[in-house]
Amino acid sequence: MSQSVKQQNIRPQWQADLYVYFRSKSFVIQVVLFVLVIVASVWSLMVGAVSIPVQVTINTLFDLDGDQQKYIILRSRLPRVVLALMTGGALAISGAVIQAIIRNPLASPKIIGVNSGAALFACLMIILLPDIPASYLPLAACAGGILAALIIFFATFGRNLSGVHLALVGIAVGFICESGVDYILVALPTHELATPLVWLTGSFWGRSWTHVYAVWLPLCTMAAVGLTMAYRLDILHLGAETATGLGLNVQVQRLILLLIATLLASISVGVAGVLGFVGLMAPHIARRLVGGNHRLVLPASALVGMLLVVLADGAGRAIFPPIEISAGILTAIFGAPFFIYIMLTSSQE
Amino acid sequence: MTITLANINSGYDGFSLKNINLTIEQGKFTALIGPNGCGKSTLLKTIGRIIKAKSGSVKIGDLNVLRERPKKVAQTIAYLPQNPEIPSAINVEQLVSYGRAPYQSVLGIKSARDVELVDEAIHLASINELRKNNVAELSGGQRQRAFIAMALAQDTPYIMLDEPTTFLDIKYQYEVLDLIKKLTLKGHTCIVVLHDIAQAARYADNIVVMRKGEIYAQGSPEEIVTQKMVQNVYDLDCLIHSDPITNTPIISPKLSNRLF
Repeated sequence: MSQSVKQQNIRPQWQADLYVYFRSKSFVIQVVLFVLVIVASVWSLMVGAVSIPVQVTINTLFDLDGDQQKYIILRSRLPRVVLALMTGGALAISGAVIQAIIRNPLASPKIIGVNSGAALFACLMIILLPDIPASYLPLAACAGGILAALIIFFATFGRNLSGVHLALVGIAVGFICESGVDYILVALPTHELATPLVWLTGSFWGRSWTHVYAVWLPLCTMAAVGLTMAYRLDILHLGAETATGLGLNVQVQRLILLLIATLLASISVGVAGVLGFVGLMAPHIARRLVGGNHRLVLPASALVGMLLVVLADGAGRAIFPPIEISAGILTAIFGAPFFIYIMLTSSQE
Repeated sequence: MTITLANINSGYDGFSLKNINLTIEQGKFTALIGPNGCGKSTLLKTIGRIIKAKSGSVKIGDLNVLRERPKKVAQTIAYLPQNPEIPSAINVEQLVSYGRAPYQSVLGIKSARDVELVDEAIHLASINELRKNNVAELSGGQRQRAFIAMALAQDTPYIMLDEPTTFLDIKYQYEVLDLIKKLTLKGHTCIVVLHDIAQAARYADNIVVMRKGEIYAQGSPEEIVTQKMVQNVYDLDCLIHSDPITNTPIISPKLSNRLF
């Protein structure tokens, strides 16, 4: 009898857990989402001012014999798709982290001031430094997002404040930045100056490999660190007192995770503009699909975010070619009704 | 090992514990009682280092609680807050398994021992049939037992519960108290904030009475629950008599003149 007990214990627990996971509904959902992301990415490469058949697209991607469309696909559309995937995933992870920490379903990167801080700095750069090329806009935006978030952290850190306080301070800082943006937009001397502000609507128009090279490393690193800390989010989600009782240094963990979320969102907003809705919507959809375990929620959120943004970017090119509609506008227009549907049909909360 | 508090000053803005000296015996059910705002929750949180004491020391044997690593403290003391926040879309088994967090790395990978202890805690709290239920959808009593199971899975010699019976129907109040009593019989040291003097007297081995941030008295239920204590601490005129079932003291307030 003791031998059978021994045999049961030979396989380590994590292997047993992994085995259970591979047979669970959540795993199937993650695989389906992954396949959908791949399909959506290929579709997005095919559509636009020049539509390209699927065979040609695949020939080009894998350098197969037959017709290829190297310039359009590899130089123009592929970097956009890659950026859409990275920013969509980053914003979604950022949103999921912030929702877990603030414990509020309305939370998103917007609530830590990232969007409005980025927008304000972009506008300030256009108005104060008109001679600097517009390609520096993402840098200014990123700096603005981080600065707004830092103000919010330092206003609330170390005072044992709840997530609600953080959210309220965040909203207040957001309002200040937004009124600044509104003032600048109204006060601009000429309308031509406002052209770069198309950026505010969130778009991948004109993005190239340069942008990809600039952001892939920080985004992937931060996303990886975020995913590693998923279990900490589970514990933090139990509330500050319970988490402290479970041996977590809540203030420090919160700060680290919020910094990760801020960097992910600021860099994304910097390079792609304000895609505000993804960070709110993707984690909610993910949680409906896989439950509340953050080790499942974070990857699922990232996949949902990627899917949303790639689809929005592709649709933006496919609807009225050659005119493009901003991905930020489309994520809101198509995402919001779907989001409302999910919220209305869910039994929870 | 006994818990020893020496010269503890602690508290939030506008409220403080003043120079608390206290010893809590091992393996006993200790109840903390006192009127609202007397500092019983603050004292509990200070012992478990949920809030930092401003000065003084908390020692459990050789362990200096205020200076020890957070994980080490969490392996010694389990703390359940009065209103634990309810996680969304988490089932009972997952919740209980979070009790193992102090023993796990950042990734939260379970060991066979973790699974064993979670199982044990679930059985001890009699929530086996609720394992796969969503915590947010449980009744108050079931949820409280699930959270107690989480504290049990922490596998600590000391368990502290802040008003675990508040907001529960009376039947569930006694179920939870029975469970805590069962834990002390298994060798855990339980420190429990209670609101109801009769419940404290019935279940506790030892009662600590607090008033305005200070310890008013400490002792066995019979020593503590007296007409004088209720008058001094709660400002209530009452008679003490004995519970017909357990012979522990219960109080009957005298009729207020204001009614007539």
